[in-house]
Amino acid sequence: MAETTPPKGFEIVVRLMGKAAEMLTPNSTRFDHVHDIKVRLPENIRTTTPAEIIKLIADQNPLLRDQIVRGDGTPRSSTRILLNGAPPRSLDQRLEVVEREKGEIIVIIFGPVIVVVDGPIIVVVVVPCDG
Amino acid sequence: MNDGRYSRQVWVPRFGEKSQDALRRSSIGVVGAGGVKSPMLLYLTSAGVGKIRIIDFDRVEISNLNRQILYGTSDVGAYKAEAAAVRLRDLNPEVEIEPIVARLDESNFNALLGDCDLIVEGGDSGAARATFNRCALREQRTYVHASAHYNYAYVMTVVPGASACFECVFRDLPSSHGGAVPVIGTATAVSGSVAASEIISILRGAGPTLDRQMFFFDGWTNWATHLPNPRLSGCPGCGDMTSISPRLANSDSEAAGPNHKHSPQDHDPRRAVT
Repeated sequence: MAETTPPKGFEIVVRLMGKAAEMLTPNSTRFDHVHDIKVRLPENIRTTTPAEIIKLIADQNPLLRDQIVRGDGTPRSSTRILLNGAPPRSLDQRLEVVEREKGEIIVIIFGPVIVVVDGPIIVVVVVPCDG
Repeated sequence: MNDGRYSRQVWVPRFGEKSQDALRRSSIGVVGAGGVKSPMLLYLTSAGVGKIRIIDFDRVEISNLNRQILYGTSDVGAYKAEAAAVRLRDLNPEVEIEPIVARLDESNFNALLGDCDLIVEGGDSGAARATFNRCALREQRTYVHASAHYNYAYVMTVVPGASACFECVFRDLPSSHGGAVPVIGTATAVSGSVAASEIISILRGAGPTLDRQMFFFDGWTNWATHLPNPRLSGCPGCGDMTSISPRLANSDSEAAGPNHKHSPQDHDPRRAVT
């Protein structure tokens, strides 16, 4: 029996809201209140940005790709990201990726105040529909 | 104490007679009378906004009735603007309701909205909303955007040259966006109610609250937050606009300047706001 190689890189939890949450499992009936997905970070990653996280989500979830990024992989203007419930300073803000004792991943925001992101990163796709 | 039509809101100290008088002297133009605009119009009418113009070319369909609470089954087939006027006049005959069955475009934007103190954006497609945005930017008109989709609600105020415009946010929607809208009625209710609250804030002179951030509501978790809503560098709609004095009204705008902040005592709804 062939040995399987465990995937490398750490996983972070991303909570989808807005149209993004509806696109990943189209035509399915779901009764969960939240739609969390796991996104695997590249092996040995030490820094990232909100824009890179959005691109990783798109790369690992093809059904979401058209909703959250443009053809070149940059976030659409209608894509929003929240860290600990608050927006980053910019989509290019540098974030440090750190491994905790339990193997979990946290992201520390560089800046005058260090913030530990210990909840899911929230990605929202906003749309202009008047129901 | 007189317990009249508006007494319960006038009794709110931070609202009071001055706010009520400001609403009574105000006029708004609303594009569309669908799911979001239904609760919004009901609340603005019951609150006593002086004049409300409703512009909508569409007719009521049975599939509208899960959320478009202005209408009943007997209204199916009627023009929305006219059916809405009947309902709203019955709700509050003190408010002047002006229904207009028309499709808004560049050619009639000023004719239909030019004399309104505040305008509320709408349209049946992204392109129609983008056209509204360009017209409002050109005329330096502050407007409120409110929408709902699936079980989510979104509200923002666009102050030309000072805040993100429609095209800053929705410049590059996926090509798949469009068509019939899947939506739950309570999401449209939240959007419309928050929009009405924002409009009342502006009309009574307290200024907008959603000009630098977007209200977002997730109906699956009943969670709401403010999303960042930055201007987009190089936006095709407002990219070259800098500080201006956007106006609410077409007429006697008392340009207070783009950095003017209204005090609670400042109740002229026709002043520029940022």
